This record gives sequence, C-alpha cells and structure tokens, in this order.
Amino acid sequence: MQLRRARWALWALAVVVAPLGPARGRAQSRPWRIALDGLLYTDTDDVQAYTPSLSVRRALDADGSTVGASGAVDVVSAASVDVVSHASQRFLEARTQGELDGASAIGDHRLSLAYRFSWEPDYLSNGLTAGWRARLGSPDTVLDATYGLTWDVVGRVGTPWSAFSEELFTHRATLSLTQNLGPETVLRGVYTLTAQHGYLEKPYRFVPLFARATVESAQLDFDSFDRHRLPVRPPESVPDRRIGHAIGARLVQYLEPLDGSLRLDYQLYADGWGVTSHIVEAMVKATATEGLVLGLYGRAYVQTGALFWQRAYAVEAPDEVPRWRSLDRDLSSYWSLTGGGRVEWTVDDVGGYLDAAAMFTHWDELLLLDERLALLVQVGFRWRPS
Amino acid sequence: MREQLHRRERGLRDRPRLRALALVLLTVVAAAGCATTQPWERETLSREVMDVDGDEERNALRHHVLSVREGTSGGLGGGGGGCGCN
Repeated sequence: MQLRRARWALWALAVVVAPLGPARGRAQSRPWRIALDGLLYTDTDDVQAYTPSLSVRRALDADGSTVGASGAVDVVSAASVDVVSHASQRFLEARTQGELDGASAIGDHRLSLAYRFSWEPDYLSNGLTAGWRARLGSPDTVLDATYGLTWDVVGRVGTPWSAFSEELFTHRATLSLTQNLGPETVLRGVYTLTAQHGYLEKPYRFVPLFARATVESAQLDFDSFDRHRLPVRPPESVPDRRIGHAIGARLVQYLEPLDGSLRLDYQLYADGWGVTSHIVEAMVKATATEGLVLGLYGRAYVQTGALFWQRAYAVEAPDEVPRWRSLDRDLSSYWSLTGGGRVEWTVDDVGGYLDAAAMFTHWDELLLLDERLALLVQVGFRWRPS
Repeated sequence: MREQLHRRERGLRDRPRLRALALVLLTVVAAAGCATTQPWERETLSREVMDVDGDEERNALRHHVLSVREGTSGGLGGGGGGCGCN
C-alpha cells in the first residue's frame, strides 16, 4: 500500500517536472548548484546528532524553473532522560531521507511540487508539498500559497510492522504575502494552519502514576519519583486530533553603515491542546569584505503547556488511569534562548558558511529535566560549476 | 477533558486571535498599496544580505533541528519579494 502511494506521488511529480523539458527562455550561465551541508548537535542531556545532507539542483531558466534532488542522513545517539528512564537503554539510530522537487515558472506565476520520503527502523514518512507563487502586479508584492500532506507510519523497533503500526496524517497550509516597502525594506506576513490526526503519542513513552497523597506530601523529582510511583505505568495517551494556527511576520532592513542587514522575525502559535508559543528572532549581517559576510543572531522561544499535561499524574485508586497522560517535554511549559554567529564566504563559483550557536532551555515543571544546554555547529559548501 | 479541548479549539476562533491575524495581514496588504520600487532602485534589494528567504538547504537543516527542540512550528517560509530577480 505504501509503495503504491509513493509511486503515485512520484508520478505526480513527473507530471509537473516533465513539461519543463530542457532549459528554455533566458538561459542560465551556471545552471547547476551543488550543496553539501552538515550539522552537529550535542547537549548536556547526553544526546548527539550528526546530519550530513547533499542537494543537487538545476535551473532550467532564469525565471525560476528548477528541478532538484537531495538526500540526508540523521544519526542520533540518544540517552535523553524522558526516553531512557522509561523505555530503553541508550540507542543509536539513523534516519535516511530523500527528496525530489520541481518548479515551473510561467509569467508571473510559479508552480512547485516536492515529494519526500524518510525511513528509520521504527518510522516511515511520506510528504507531498504543492505550491503556487504569484507576483501581484509587480515584483514588489508576492503571494505564496503552499499545501503539504505528510503521511507517517509509526512502529516499534524489534516489533514487526504487522504487529504494531499506527498512522499519522499532517496537513499544513501556508499563505504568505511579501511586500517591498521601499528600496531597502522588505516585509512578510505568514499564516500557517496545521491539522494532525492519527497516532500522536510516542510509542516508547510510559507515564508514572502516583497516589494523590504522595503527590501532595512527597517532593517528587528525578531521583525520587521512581520510589514513589504506583506499579502501573500506562503508555502515553493524547487526543488523536490537533489543530494549530501560526501567524508570523519578518522584516528585513538594509543597514548602510554595515553594508549589511537587520532581520526581525516574530511568530505566534496557538493550538487546540492549549499550547501557545512565541518566537522572536533577530539577526544582523555585515559585509566584512567582498565575498565575506559576518552575522550574529539571537532567538527566544517560550510556550505554555498543554491543557492535559501534568508534572505528576495523581489518581484516587490504584487501578485508575487518567484518559490523557503525557510526559512529553514538548507539551510542558518551557522557554529557550539561542545565540550564535555565522560566517559566509564566496569566491568565484564556490562558497560556504560556518554557523555556531548555543541553546539554553529551561523547563518550568518537567519531572525529569530542569535545564539543558546544547551546542549546534552547522557547516556548508556551495558549488556552481560553469 | 475532551469537552474542554473542544471548547479550547472553538476558542481559537475567538476574536482576539482573529484580530491579531487580521492586523498582520492588513498591515502587509496596506503596505502593498503605498510602495512601488522602480527597477533602478532594486540594486540593494538584490544583494544577498537582503535575501528574505535565505539559503534553502541551510534553512532546511536548521528548521529540522528547531522543529525537534521547540515544541511548535509554523515557519516564516514563503516566497518572493526583494529584487524580483526571478
């Protein structure tokens, strides 16, 4: 079934890409673009991730028609407390992803289609995204609409798919309007609707339950909760539907003294589970010398917890199990701060960048973790052969 | 709890959030009416430091990391704007 659906997605992509044919219209002097990227993540929760990726893209004309293919591998070495203390030992896991995309520019319009497939031992994901972009009268005003459907199949390592597999569907629609406010200022407004239905739990996460008297009298923390919990430890259970709304704005302003720019982002997100979040990000870029750009950025993220999320689930009777229960830190209230710097360089037909950042996260009520400091290093090379 | 969740979802369509959404979109739409950049004024907009989207592959990797570390994502993706070079 999955192979059949994947085949349909590839056919749909071929239908869009095929009419593009060979390069037409104004020819590109350097139609090929090869991008090699790598990301290293490590944190104080003993999680490491390495993600190399390769992308090859060919411009078919100077109007924006392209075809491309990319692949990435995610290697995660994890011992995160909320997983290990409840399900398994430290593990090493790899995720492989491939993507094909194409875009066709016709006059003031640009149509695009992309198909992505990712595979790991306990998770399969198919994603199809279609987009339409149009200039509204002049290049000063651009409307962009995309719709994406992701179909995920969730399994368990060591368990045959036939014995355990659940599905999750994610629909995401985005509408954005980008406007030049003048020769040195660009403003963008974005609205995103995300609707998920299906299996939204994590299959390895089990939730400890406590007697109400214990919760009220004992000081529960990471070291002591296991001694106080009841014998029953049911799997995580959350509603099978989640609808989220996000609105955001981005402003880019040229800074003449730096021969650079200031970028300001803001996003407000709210969903039906009661999670509300705010993201604020600012980045300043400066041209150090021809072909060398330096950048500094900061990002703040804060969110409220889901309505049903609790630090410790208290029950009146030993056989009572709360209907919704989760230990997911992403459903609790927390905030994070990220700061980093970037160097971008270009020499003739090659270029690259080095980006390094530190991210500090604080959880207000999470039983298993209070704080985490993470380091992220990202590096990339670009080549546009003649 | 289910009733509470449904109430919360209905609450998402309440006035304050609609007003916030309308405000953002109206600001951009209103701005559209008051700015016309002539072709000879687009040199600055065409510079790489003014690229409103940024590098696609770099952003994809970064977004992947952030979507795992931050519980919610919506994204500030979109398209176009700037110099209108393609």
